[in-house]
Amino acid sequence: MPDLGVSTVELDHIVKRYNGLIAVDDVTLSIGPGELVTLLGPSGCGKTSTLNLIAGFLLPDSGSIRINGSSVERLPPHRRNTAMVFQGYALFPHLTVARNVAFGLEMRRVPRPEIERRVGEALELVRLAAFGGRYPAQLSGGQQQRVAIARALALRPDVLLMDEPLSNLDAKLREEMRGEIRALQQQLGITTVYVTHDQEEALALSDRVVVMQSGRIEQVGAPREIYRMPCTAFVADFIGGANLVPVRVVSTAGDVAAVIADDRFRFRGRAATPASVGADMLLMVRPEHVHLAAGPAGANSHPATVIGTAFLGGLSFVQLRLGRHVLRARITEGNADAYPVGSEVSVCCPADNCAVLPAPR
Amino acid sequence: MMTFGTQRRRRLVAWGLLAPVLLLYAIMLVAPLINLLVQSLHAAAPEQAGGGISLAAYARFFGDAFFLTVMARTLRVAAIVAVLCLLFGWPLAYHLSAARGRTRAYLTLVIMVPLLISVVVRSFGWVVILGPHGLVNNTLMVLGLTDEPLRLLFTEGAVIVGAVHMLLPLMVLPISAALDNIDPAVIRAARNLGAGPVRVFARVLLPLSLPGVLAGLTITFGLAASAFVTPAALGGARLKFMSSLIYQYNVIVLDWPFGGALSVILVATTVLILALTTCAFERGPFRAVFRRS
Repeated sequence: MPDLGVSTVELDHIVKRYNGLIAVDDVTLSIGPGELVTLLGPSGCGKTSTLNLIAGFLLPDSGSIRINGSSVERLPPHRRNTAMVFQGYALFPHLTVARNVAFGLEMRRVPRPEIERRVGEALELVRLAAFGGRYPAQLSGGQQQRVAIARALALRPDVLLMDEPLSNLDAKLREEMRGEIRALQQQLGITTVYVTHDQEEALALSDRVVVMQSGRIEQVGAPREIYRMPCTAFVADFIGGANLVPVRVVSTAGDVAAVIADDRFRFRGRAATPASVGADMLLMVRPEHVHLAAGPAGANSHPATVIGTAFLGGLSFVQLRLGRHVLRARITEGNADAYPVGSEVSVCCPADNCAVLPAPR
Repeated sequence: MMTFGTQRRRRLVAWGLLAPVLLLYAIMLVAPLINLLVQSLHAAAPEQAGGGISLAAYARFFGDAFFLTVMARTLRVAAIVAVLCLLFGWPLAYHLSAARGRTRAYLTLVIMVPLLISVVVRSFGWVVILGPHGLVNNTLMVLGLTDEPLRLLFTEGAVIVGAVHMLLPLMVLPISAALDNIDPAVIRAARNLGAGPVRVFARVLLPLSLPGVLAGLTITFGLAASAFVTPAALGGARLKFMSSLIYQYNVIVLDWPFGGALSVILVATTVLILALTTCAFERGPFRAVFRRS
């Protein structure tokens, strides 16, 4: 399937309100050709509204949406060359698989022989070539999902929009389809906007992740970047889980800040935003970067008490009390036995893995 | 664990629960129909002399152009009524299933109102409206559109208007139930794939509403073909329908074999037409809609 992947999408200061409540709050985002961008956030964060604004199911109150440089924000959905894959697949129950895939082409009055060729191609792509004559009700969930993807791809849309396409599948199939979607997207090089509330899915799939909360963009970045250098406590907590400890800044040097918790525990870490001495901020450290040792403390190290352990197969979590705070450490399996509840350990959080984030207002 | 014993018990319980209604149907529907069939095959009324089996009543019906005309009129009017109910009812059903909350409750009530008023009252309401000095004629004459009253009452048209009014809710309810079952995302998918409003209707909404349409057509056609009060009130004494003939021969003339034959012919024809219609829908291009999932 040629001719895909040349499209760009730009959202320019988009605002959308429902009955006075703000759903999308001044969102500006530019998506490059062939890029897969996920909109990630909890329910009600505005990610689905943003997708529906691009598709044209919603019209923005202000701001503009450009696909390939031309404004589309006032066009009805059927005049925009986007194709959406819906959460519940939304296949036409009264049409066969082939007719479902042909639907968009028929609407565009593509000649019959070409429709047949492109339907064949699209079903081939999702490995359902033999299923053209079946009805959706005769297919499994994963197969229906693939039909929905074929139906969208057959159109050769400028932009592929995916609204939590995997949320109706069981965990194993979800992981499998995730890989398939990514492979297909890269093979076709199609510009894709993908909505999900599953951070693992977002990290695994995306070129870039857009983390949203309360209608606003919290952070945009490549999956690694978002994970390693979250710029807000919300992002840190939403992506991968994080230990967040309230601290006060005692000194700064470049982008490194020295902070203190409970007036006792000193840490050094990278400051995501400029930190001023005396400011109340949050120290963020991932559970896998909280190291445990039996010996005495060094730099960025403090004594703590084990208050609980959880065995999760390949890994374990150890809960620790550090002054008034609770930290979670992730350790590999087997070692959890070395830290019985009540034992004293020292925790070490390497400065490279500590981030100093602004405290939420 | 599901054992054979519990399954059989479940089935027994199910039949036990169905028994009262099955008994009711047997007594109120099946028995009278068999009785009518038997009655129609008697050579003469049972209390008269000379019994025996005979198809004379049927021969008389199919040999007389008058009866065939009445039959044709009955079926034609029923078909027109069913189709008009569909044309008026579909948009109404669409609005009903699109409505939410309080609007929906009021709309449902308004649509149901014809069912809550006696057939006799409703039919005579139309007599008042369509009569020579009724609302319609008076208005036309005041406006100078006609010099003398038009003949509106005691026509097929009057019967059709009255029957559509009476049966419309029975078309709206099943269609709106079918529309309620459509996943709204399917509509959005159609729009996203390039269908404008007209094609969303023709390619998605209408096909997916067909089970409701079929139910509505079945109910309205069946009731229109067998309606008694509305044709009698709005069709008058001279415009005969099958139902008025059945009444006449069974209750006034007391020619029970012929009355029975008329009844059997009406029921059989109606059932046949409805069966063929159902078949056509269920084997048509959208047969998948009728499949139970």
